Amino acid sequence: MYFTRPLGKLIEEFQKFPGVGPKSAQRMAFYVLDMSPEAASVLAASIIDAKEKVRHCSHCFHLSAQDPCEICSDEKRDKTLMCVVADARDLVALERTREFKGLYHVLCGLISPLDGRGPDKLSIRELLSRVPVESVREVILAINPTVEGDATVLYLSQLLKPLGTKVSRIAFGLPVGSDLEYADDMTLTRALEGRREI
Amino acid sequence: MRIKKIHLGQFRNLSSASVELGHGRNILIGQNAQGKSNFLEAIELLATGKSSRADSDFDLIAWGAKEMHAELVLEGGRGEEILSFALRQPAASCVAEKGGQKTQLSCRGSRVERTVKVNELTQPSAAGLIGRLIVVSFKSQDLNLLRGGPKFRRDWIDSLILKLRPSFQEVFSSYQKTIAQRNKLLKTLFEKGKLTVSDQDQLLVWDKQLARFGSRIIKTRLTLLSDLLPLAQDQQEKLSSQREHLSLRYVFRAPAERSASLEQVEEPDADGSTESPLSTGPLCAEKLAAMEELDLARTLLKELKDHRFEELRRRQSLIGPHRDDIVFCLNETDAASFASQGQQRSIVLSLKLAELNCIQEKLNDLPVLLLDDVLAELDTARQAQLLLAVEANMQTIITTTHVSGFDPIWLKDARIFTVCQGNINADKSAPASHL
Ligand SMILES: Nc1ncnc2c1ncn2[C@@H]1O[C@H](COP(=O)(O)OP(=O)(O)OP(=O)(O)O)[C@@H](O)[C@H]1O
Ligand SMILES: [Mg+2]
Ligand SMILES: [Zn+2]
Repeated sequence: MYFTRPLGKLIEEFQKFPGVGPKSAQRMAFYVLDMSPEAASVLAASIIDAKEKVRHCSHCFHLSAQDPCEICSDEKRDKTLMCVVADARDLVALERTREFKGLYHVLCGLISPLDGRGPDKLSIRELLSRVPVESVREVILAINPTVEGDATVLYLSQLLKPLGTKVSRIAFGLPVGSDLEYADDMTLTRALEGRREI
Repeated sequence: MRIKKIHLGQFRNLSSASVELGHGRNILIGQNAQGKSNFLEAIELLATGKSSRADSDFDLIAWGAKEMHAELVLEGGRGEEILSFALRQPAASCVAEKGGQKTQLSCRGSRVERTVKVNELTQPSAAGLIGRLIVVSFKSQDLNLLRGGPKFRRDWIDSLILKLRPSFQEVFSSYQKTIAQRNKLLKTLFEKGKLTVSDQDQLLVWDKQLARFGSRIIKTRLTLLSDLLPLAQDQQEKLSSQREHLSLRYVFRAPAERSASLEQVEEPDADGSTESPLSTGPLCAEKLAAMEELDLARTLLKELKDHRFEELRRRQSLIGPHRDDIVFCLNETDAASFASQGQQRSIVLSLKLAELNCIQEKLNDLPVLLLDDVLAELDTARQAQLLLAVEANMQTIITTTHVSGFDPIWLKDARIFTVCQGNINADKSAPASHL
C-alpha cells in the first residue's frame, strides 16, 4: 500500500521530528488532511513566521523575535547576576517562578562528545567574554544533574573560576514533599553534597 | 520472599507455561534441550531486568513469534507484587512514496519494544525490576568466575551490589555513560592529532567524571568484598576440612606502557595484553575496607593523567572499574591457574554460599535460589554443605535431567515438575517414584 506522493512527503517530513515514529507521522499527516484549508494555512504560515522571526539574542542566546531580547533589554533586571542554562526551555521554566531577577545566558546544549558537541559548539566563548565586560558578580549554573550536565558544569567552572567571579550551581536534592527513606542513592548523595549550613 | 506463580508466553521454546511454585524446593526434571534453563532464565530476567545469556532481546522471543511475555507473582515483605516483562517486534514496515520512488519507511532494525511493569505500572526502563525479586543462581557456567575473563567477576560483584542496593544502578549507568562519552572524545582528539588547551580542559572534565563515579563503584565493590570474604573463607574451610584458605585481591589494572607523547601514535600496538596490575599485594579484608572513596578518586585521576597518551593512542578508557579484576587465591596461590578442577568448583560453591549468607544477613529476607544442573554434579559432601546453607523454607528451584545423584533430603517435600518440549507440568505422582 503506497501513499500518494504529496501525502508520503508530508509523512516523511513529520517523521523527522524528534520522538515521532512512522505511526505518529501518519497520524499527524492524516490530521492535517482533515483540517480546514484556513487552519492548514495558519499552520504553514506559523512555521514560516517562527522560522523567519525567531533568532538567538546576540547577548544571551535566548530565542526571541527582537534583538536584544525582552530580558536583556529590560532595565529593571539585575545585571550583576547571571544564570546559565542549557537551553531556552530551561530559561522559560525559571522565568515562570518569577524568583530570578538577573540576566541569563543560554548555552544552546551540553557538552556531549557522543553527539559531536564539544565546548566550541556551545555559546561558551560568548559567556566568558560577557562575564568580565558586564561586571557580573555571580554566575549561577542552572544545569541538570546528568552526566553531560555535570561535565558541562565542571568545564565551565574550570574556566569561570580564574575570572574571579563567584560561581554557584543550583542545588539538587529531595523533591518537595518526598520522603528521605525512599530516596535513591544518587539523589541522597546529591542532597548531601548540596547541603548548607542553617 | 517467594515466587507464587509464573506465566510465560512465547519465551524461547516455552510457548505457554503457567507454573505454581511450591514454597520450598521445586525440582524441574527433563531431558536435555527441553526448556529447563530457559525457565530459570525467565526468572532471572524478571529479577534483574536482563538475561545473562541472551545477546539481544530478539533472542528471547520464540522463533517465528512476534512477541513474548513473562510475568510472575512475588510474595515478599512488601506484600504481593506482579513483575512483568514483555517484548514486541514492531510491524515489519510501512511504505511511503518519495520522489516517485517507493521508499520503505523502515521500522525494521529498530529495536524490539520492551514493556516492563511492576504491579501494572509501566516502568521507564527494565531497571525498574531491580531489587524486587532477589535470586541467587548457581549454574555450571559459574566456573567462569574463576576460569573466565575479568568481566565475569566484575559482573558477579556488580550484580550482587544491585541485589543489595538497587538504586546503585544509577551510579553504574552514569559511569557507563561517562566511559562512552570519554571514549568518543579520545577517538575524536586522536583523529585530530594535536591537543589544544581547550581539548585538555575537556579531557580533564571527563577524567573528573570517571574518577567520581569510578571511585564510588570501586569503594562499593571493596566494601562488599570485605563483607563477603570471611563468609566465603568459612565455607571453603568447611569444604576442605580446614585445609584450604581462600583469599582474594582486587586488582586495579592499568596499561603497562606509558608512552610519553603523541608522536608515537603511529607505532603499532605490540599486543593487546600490555596490562599489568597496579596493585598486586593481597588485600586483606580490613585493608580493602580502609580505602576511602576520595583516595580512590585521587588515585584514578593521577593514573588517568599518567596514561593520557596511551589512552589517546588506543582511543579507549583504560583505567577504571570497568577494567579491574578480582583474583582468588587458595593458600596464597592464584586459584585460576593452580587450583584443581575440584578445588575450583569448591571455590565457586563457597562464593555462592557466601553470597547467599550475605544477602540473607543484609536484607533480612530469604532470596530465591536457582540451581541449574549443578546439584547432580556435586558430590555428597558438597551437597550436604549446600543443604546446610539452604534453609528448608528458602524457595529453591532445581533443574536436572535425573534425580538419581540427589541426596534424598532434596526430594523430601519437594514439588516436582516435568519439562518436555517446552511444556512444564506439575508431576502429581509421589516424588519418591523418581528414585
Ligand atoms: N528464541 C527461541 N525460540 C525457540 N526455541 C529456542 C529459542 N531459544 C532457544 N531455544 C531452544 O530451547 C531449547 C531448550 O533450551 P534450554 O537451555 O532451556 O534446555 P535445557 O532443558 O536446560 O537443556 P539442558 O539439560 O541441556 O541444559 C534449546 O533446544 C534451544 O534451541
Ligand atoms: Mg540447561
Ligand atoms: Zn538576551
